[in-house]
Amino acid sequence: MAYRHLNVEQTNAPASLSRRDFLRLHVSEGKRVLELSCERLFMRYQDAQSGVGRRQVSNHDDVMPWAQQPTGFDTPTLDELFAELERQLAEADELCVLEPDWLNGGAFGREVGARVEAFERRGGHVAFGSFSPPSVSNGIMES
Amino acid sequence: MAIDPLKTVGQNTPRIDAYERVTGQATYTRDIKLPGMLYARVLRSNVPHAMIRRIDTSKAEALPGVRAVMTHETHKIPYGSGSISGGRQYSDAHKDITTRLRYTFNDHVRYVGEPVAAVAAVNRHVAEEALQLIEIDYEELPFVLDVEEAIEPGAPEIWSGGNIAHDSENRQQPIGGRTGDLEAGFAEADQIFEDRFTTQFVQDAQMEPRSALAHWEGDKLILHTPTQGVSNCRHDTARDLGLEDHQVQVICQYMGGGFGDKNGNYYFDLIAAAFARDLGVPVMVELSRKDDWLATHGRWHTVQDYRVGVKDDGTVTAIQLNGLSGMGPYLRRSGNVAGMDVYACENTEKSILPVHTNRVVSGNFRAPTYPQGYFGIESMMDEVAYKLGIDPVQFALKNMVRPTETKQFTNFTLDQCIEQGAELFDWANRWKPEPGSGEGPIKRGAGMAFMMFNARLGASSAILRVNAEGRYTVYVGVTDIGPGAKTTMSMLAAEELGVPLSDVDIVWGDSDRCPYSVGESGSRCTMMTGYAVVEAARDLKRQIAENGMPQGDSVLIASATPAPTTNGKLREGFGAHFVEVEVDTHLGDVRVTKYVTVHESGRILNPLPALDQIRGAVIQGIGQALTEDLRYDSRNGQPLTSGYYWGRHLTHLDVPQIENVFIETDDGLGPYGAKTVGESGIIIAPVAVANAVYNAIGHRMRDLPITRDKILEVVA
Repeated sequence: MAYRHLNVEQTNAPASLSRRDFLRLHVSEGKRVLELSCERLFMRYQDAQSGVGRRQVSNHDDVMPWAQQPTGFDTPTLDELFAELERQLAEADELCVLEPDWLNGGAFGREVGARVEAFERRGGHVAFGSFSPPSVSNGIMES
Repeated sequence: MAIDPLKTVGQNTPRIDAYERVTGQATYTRDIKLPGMLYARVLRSNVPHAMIRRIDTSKAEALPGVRAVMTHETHKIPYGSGSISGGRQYSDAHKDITTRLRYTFNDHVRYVGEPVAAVAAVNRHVAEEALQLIEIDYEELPFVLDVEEAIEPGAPEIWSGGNIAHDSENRQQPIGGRTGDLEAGFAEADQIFEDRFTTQFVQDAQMEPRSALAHWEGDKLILHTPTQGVSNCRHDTARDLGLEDHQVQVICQYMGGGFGDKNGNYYFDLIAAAFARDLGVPVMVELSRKDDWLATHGRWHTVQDYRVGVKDDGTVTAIQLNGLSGMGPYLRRSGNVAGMDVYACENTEKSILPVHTNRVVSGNFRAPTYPQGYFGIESMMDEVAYKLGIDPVQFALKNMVRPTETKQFTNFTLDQCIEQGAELFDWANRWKPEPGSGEGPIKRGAGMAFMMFNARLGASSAILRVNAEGRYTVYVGVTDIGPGAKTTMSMLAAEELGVPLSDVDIVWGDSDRCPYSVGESGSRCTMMTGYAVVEAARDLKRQIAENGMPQGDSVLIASATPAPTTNGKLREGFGAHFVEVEVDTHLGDVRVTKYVTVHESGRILNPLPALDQIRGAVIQGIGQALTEDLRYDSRNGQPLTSGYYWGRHLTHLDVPQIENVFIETDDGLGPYGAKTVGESGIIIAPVAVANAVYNAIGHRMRDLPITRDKILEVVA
């Protein structure tokens, strides 16, 4: 039972599954299928737009006036967020857009919609579906 | 100031998840079961201070059913949330420079209860059995439990360089500062009083013992853990594991209380994550009640030396405080001591040294810096009032902080709280001008105290959407630590939208499915996240007015991240407590016979849980005054009183009916003028009780808790 020191960056994810925030990538019949959770992307979009995490000072009620200001969270900017989406789309063959009702209207829908259309124009296959987060029932989580 | 009644807000509203909670349908972290999951238990140091010379896990590893054993030799994971200088948990820059970094497992163990190994096994029983098979050879070191002894020359060094905690730049400097001209203040005084007050370590004692369930999807960690803030816990955990924030999802759907003990992440979150990563299956780490008591944190104990200058007419002219705070071996929070700013005196000096000892770690507990500080300052001032022959209520009204040109408040009701409380309590008849003057062995007395607590504003986010069926859904990153945040957020949305509460759903407690939230600490959830809900609702109403209700599959989505300010004004919640006690001078027993509180917390959004919060906090405060204590055996550094029974935590049956009045106001800030509630009730409960004991027996009790032996010692 030899143990290594935990070093996440050196470990390899299972080849069939990769998950990045609002995206889930798996390989099916040799094709790289990307699931896009619009709900989760919208949350990150909201955080990126507000920038609140980047300027967060403290979440605690014990603030020391003499202490230095902390650095805040690793909240991406809007540009970084959509650049990541584009990068992931560039490597996918199929795209499954989950909870598409989050794309209704507004700047968020236009931004995401434009990238989905671009993916389709490049020959990618797009499907729409509803995402079912793991449900917990009677204490048993069904993954 | 009268407030306009509202339709939903302000109505007694049961928690929207009450049924699930009381019928056992609510799924807490420990209730979750995932296919193939393992259970982990943590082995803890049984010595207060030692170096681990050798640790042999071979027998544990050989036990059938054991899947992995983890120690400092196998895993070196920084645990940043528990080690940062300066009391800030989320400053990554500080984490980078601190010279006192704590790891999940340390070969230098510094308190009884410190994690030294963990076992993952097929079930919790095998994991526990395996812990017994781990052999550790300790090189025991001298230990120190007392804060004053810890800073004496030659004291055992818990950290290289001495036992005074480091600040954010690795300096050993006191917390505090000066205002006005202290020397001039003392020169102006007719009399100067000095006294010492000390407070004990008390555990947060939340109902739900800690646990953490981790599993991975590729390089993404999904962490179920009872936390007071999913956003902050996510960031903490990502930082400690060397991940980016988006690689961690923190979920907390139900939790059984927090009281500050569940701020940020904890080492067992990291243990669960590491086991799950290495073994490729979900792993649940569970803490026992004793683990929870001795290996999380509680309120820091203090030594406070006051010097107060006062004129013969009762005007306080100078206040000086020198203090020590016992932080345990790792600095999790600041160690600050609050309370002096509730007095108007402008000539002040405060100097607090946070000190390391070989006791359990100290950290946030409901108003982290306040009850111990208010016990010191208001015991001191109560004593001064008696010495000058002034009624404590009149002394309070004379010396309490008041609005000035340079110190403006968004609104101010402290004087109303005191005056109304005195009247409701019948202070004039219950208080004895001559303390200890009652007849017979059972002596009655009355005490009072007053407080203010910051009701700060700040940024947080909320998202709100409506579908064609007219269902509204609020997305907020709250976890509902007990006061009913889910209900409050839903009520705010319903109120602003003008729809029934039953039309509003809520998504909460999931860092991937909710926007950033400030979390639930500092009594700020309602003021910050609640205000974001109101702003999002206003945005949604505007969209509905412009576009009409959505049709078919379409929805309307609104979001808000307001960052309101007070424009330089102080925004405070105010309160006053009045207590009557009976002291049995033969047995040393203290019994609280009447308790009246008056609080101004702005508009009360939901009176039912607001009152519960005041009552619960007062019970905790009475416990801190009279019974609760984590005692240690000074000969061997072993903790003696863990758990609810030995810790002597009070229940509703131990206290009288607590009468509370809210003075409702609306200063135009926060959601409909709401201010802080959750922490306010505990702040002055210990000192109000202590002052009542003095009035009853004529002896000042300077050391908490006021136990029978201490009473008997002074009345003998």
